[in-house]
Amino acid sequence: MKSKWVAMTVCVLFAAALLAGCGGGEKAEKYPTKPITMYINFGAGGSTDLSARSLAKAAEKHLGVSIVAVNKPGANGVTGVAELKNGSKDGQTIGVMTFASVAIIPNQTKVPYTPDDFEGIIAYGQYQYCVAVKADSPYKTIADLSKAAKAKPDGFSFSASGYPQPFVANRIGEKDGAKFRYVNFKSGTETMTALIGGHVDFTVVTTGDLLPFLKSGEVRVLASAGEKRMPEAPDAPTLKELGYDIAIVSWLGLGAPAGIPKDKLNILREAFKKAANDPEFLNTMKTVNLPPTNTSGDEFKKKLVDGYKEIGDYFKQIGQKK
Amino acid sequence: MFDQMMLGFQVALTYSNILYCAAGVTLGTAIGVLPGLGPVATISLLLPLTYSIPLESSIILLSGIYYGAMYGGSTTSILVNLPGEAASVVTALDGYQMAKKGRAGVALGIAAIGSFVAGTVAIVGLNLFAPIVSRWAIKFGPPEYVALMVMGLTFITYLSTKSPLRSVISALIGLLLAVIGVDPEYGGARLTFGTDTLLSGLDFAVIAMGLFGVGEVLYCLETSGEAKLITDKISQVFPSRKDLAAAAGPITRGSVLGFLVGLLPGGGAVISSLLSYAVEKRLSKHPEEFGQGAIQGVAGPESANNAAAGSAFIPLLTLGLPSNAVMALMFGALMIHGVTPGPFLIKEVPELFWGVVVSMYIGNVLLLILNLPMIGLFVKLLKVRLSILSACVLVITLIGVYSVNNNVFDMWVLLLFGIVGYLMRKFEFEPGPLVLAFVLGPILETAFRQSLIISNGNPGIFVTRPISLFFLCLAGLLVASQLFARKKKSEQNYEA
Repeated sequence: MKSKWVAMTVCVLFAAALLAGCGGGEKAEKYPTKPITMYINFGAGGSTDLSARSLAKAAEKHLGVSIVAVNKPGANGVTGVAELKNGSKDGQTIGVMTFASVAIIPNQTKVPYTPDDFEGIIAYGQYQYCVAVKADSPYKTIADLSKAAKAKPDGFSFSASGYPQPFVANRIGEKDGAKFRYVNFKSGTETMTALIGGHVDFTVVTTGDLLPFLKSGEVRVLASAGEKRMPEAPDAPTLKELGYDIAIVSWLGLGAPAGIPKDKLNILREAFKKAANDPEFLNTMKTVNLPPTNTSGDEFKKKLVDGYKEIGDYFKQIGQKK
Repeated sequence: MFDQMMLGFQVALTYSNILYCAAGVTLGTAIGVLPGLGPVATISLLLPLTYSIPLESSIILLSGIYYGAMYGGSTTSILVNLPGEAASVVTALDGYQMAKKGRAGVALGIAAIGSFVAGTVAIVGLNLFAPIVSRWAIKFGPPEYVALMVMGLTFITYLSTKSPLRSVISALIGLLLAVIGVDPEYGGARLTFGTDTLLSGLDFAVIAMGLFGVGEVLYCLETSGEAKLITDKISQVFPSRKDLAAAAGPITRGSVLGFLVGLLPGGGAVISSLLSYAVEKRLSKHPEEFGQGAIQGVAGPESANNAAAGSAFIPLLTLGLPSNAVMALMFGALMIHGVTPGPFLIKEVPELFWGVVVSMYIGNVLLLILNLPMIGLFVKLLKVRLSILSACVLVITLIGVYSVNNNVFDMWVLLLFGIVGYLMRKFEFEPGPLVLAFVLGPILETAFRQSLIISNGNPGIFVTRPISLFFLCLAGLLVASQLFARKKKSEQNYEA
């Protein structure tokens, strides 16, 4: 009998403590107190996955809670971003957003979101692109390439793994009057395999995917498609230097569903801003050949919104609509 | 070469690395046996853990999981007709029939021995020829893949026991299902009925477990009044000398085929098991036994898919080109440790390459030791009452399917395909061709469209390239010979 009373008292006390705990939490508006879920829109082991995990690991130190990474790969990154949109708006769900999946693909196909459905937390990586041929190819410059392509009625084929890469070849082709046909591959490594195997004439690829083959001497860079020359191929000019009006970079960052309370968003932004300077994170970025950046969430969102519009206009212009 | 092997032994024979190797193959066998959670899911779960262990150890562990899973994958195919991955679909055809006839132990034994031999052949190949053969793989561009896939699809008709026409229909349904999701070229949504869930398409594991596992359970429910057990007579547990003699040829041929085809990125293991089955059926004096529990139908394909698992490492380690999802994860594991896989990997980190190769020899021996004694235990599983076994299969497949993508929708798809599988069995359609076509379909489609863009719409690209022409001719010959054989047969029937 006595023991029953003790048990009941303990239970009541326990329940009271639990309720008190809840109340306290609400009043103080402490955030974060629970583990945060982070969706990664590509599979485990890729550069997106490795970099995001590394950044999250660094941010955990500043947030004081753990970040649980969940891979939601598929449909060029759309699946994971769609999942993020449906995630909780109370700051418990964040996710990786890539420029292509948020700003480009929604112009090509029906997806359940637009860039306005998200807030940016940080942009932490930049993809840079270049135009390259096999090392034993006779073409040494972009002009060589265009000239040879013009001489052939079918033009040349090039490998790339999704937009914005083909924009680069399109712009060169428009200016020089050459025809370039875009052969789409699923990943950067497949893009490189097609080039090395001699199945396409040239490639527009991210510098990260290219570097191992540049080191082994199997490819030659004809031009950098970014604002600057590639440090690893300093002799190759940028397309801008050559007079082509194009310089592209693509962004990689984190976001949260729109509607997240402003104060919580700011806590996340602060934490990830610090995390992006973490030496271990920067080391990971170097390993996966991704140029790091520490761009604010607002600016990241602006890039996505502007890019979405710009590219939509471009597709309308060339007559490729969804 | 000798020095390099010694270096490999130095790395692989440290206590910790032997332990990692043993842990890897044990875990691999376990996940291979359990349907659903395949090597891809397991390795992606474990990947973050490898941050903190040395590079060689982590690759030894992860590769152990991979070839261990290939080894274990045949177990459920044979015992309960539940192939956990695409490569063991073919094994299920005759393996499950053998189990039904009380020869489950023999089938498991042959699968284990075949896997061991094939695994060893692949490692020797990796050891001796890695740098030479890797160049061969990149000769395969999109047109060559189209031809290879067309050939693979024609082999599917060999899987049929009764009517090739039913196999063709089954395969066509598989190809249609493969179309669901985002168009690989232009990114449009296809057959998604306006839902987001179908954007990423259907998952192989879900379809296979539905058609085979749940379908079988439903089918058994119907007949459970008569048969309480899958079989009550278990004649022998280990393969006899006669069995071994019958399996020797298929194992040898399967190993070589698997090694060569496994080098090719995408679908290498699946194609090699199909190829081996077709070859064995063709060479057999009693092709009518195939599909009824022919030991050659287990020995050949099972050896082929294990050899392919080994040779898949070659493009990754010598060129930096991952050939399947597991290899892509290995690529990630290497990058975590600051090693970018590429043409210089063997030169830059020889201790890694040779250490992993030697650990595979050790792992293969461990697997044999681990698996042979288990056969007796696994076979006893068949003595469990069918009503209990079926319920377990249903629960395990549901959990397994959920674990693949953490998605409840997949569980509904599983049940739907369970009903489809039941109906197919009822109307004597086989699920094998459907799931295999489902796996090969996307590779075929992508490569076909890539080829036509490369050739600017000219289909001549498929016949002007020698490798592609060769495969297409082979496919043509195959169809012709089958039509001819059928005609001859029907004439004979007519005369009689």
